[in-house]
Amino acid sequence: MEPPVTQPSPEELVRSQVDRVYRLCSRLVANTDDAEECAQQSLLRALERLPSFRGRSELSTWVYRITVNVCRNFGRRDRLMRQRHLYGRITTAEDSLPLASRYESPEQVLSRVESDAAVTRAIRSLPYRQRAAVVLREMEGMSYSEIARTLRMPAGTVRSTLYRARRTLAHALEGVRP
Amino acid sequence: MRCARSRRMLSLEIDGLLDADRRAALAAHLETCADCRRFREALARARVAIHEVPRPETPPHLAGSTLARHAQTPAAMRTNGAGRAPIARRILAGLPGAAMIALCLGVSALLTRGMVYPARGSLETDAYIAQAAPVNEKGPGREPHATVTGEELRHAVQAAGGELRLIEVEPGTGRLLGLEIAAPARDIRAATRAVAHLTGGAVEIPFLPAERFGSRIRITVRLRP
Repeated sequence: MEPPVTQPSPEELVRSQVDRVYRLCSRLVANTDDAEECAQQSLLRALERLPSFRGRSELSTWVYRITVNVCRNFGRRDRLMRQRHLYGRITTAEDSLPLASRYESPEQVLSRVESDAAVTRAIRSLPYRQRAAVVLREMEGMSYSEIARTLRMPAGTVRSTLYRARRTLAHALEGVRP
Repeated sequence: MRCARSRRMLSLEIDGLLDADRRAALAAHLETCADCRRFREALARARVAIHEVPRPETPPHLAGSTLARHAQTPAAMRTNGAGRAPIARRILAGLPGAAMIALCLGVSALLTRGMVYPARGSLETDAYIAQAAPVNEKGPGREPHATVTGEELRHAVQAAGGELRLIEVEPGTGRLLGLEIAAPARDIRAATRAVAHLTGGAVEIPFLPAERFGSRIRITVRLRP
């Protein structure tokens, strides 16, 4: 018999997960507005499903899985909408990065912004599963087994997916200043 | 070691997932392969560039607005926690579709209720009911339940210069429904008139010939019920 799971309150869930959910959404969808919308949808869905959380995985992994699915579905809908020219532009790193810094010259800031924008573009151009895998690994620091649970794929597939994503990024970012 | 394998191992090496033996084999390959060394450098550069992208700042209102939206959602509108709506709601959601299908089936049954799908009659000695009831009692030669054989029809059409190709009858009752006649254009009217004479005059001739092939015309005449 499974031990009873102490579920967090709605407020605890939202406050503890909002940062990582928003961070993940901002990497997986096209712009900051969409990221906010996706983050809210993901958290609302997590709140709705909270009674079914059995504690078989970490709360964060469970929330990540919901978020990855929400972003994937949002991406599909978004792509359809863009194909129909109904709305939207894809924002890049320039939209969200600070343009002034105490320690950098304007040229350095510009170079950094361009580099970050190139990285963002390269990541967003990956197929969805590769994008999710590389973001979870490189930006969220998840282990292979956590990525496998989050993306519902075998560990071997995580390895090959990550390899393909990294190979593509290595080629795409060859000219970018490290 | 082949380069493809070496590059896959480089991806695992980044994550510290290679054991000592495989690390040694990889190092041996890298010593001899400049392409794979360049690939390792490119992987490392890309990784540094990815890590340098600043973390986005969460909008400060996001947590509050999410909790407020959650509080505004009535409990009945939420799913039952298992990610699926309660069974009663799912049944209710399917009702409009089911009602629409039932309506379509009902309408099509009503529309096709009186329809008769004809059977093919023999052109030989089988007798058919040419007229189920008098259409107009004043009309010439109208007798209720007059019968005519396929052979009589065929001879009549032939005598008029045409050819009887098909007889359509109502299954079960043997009532004559229609005839397909082929004849030269100049004889088609005479052939039709011959059919009308035999069947008591209750013949509907289509306004336009159904099909013209060479100098002949093929038409389907309908007998009035």
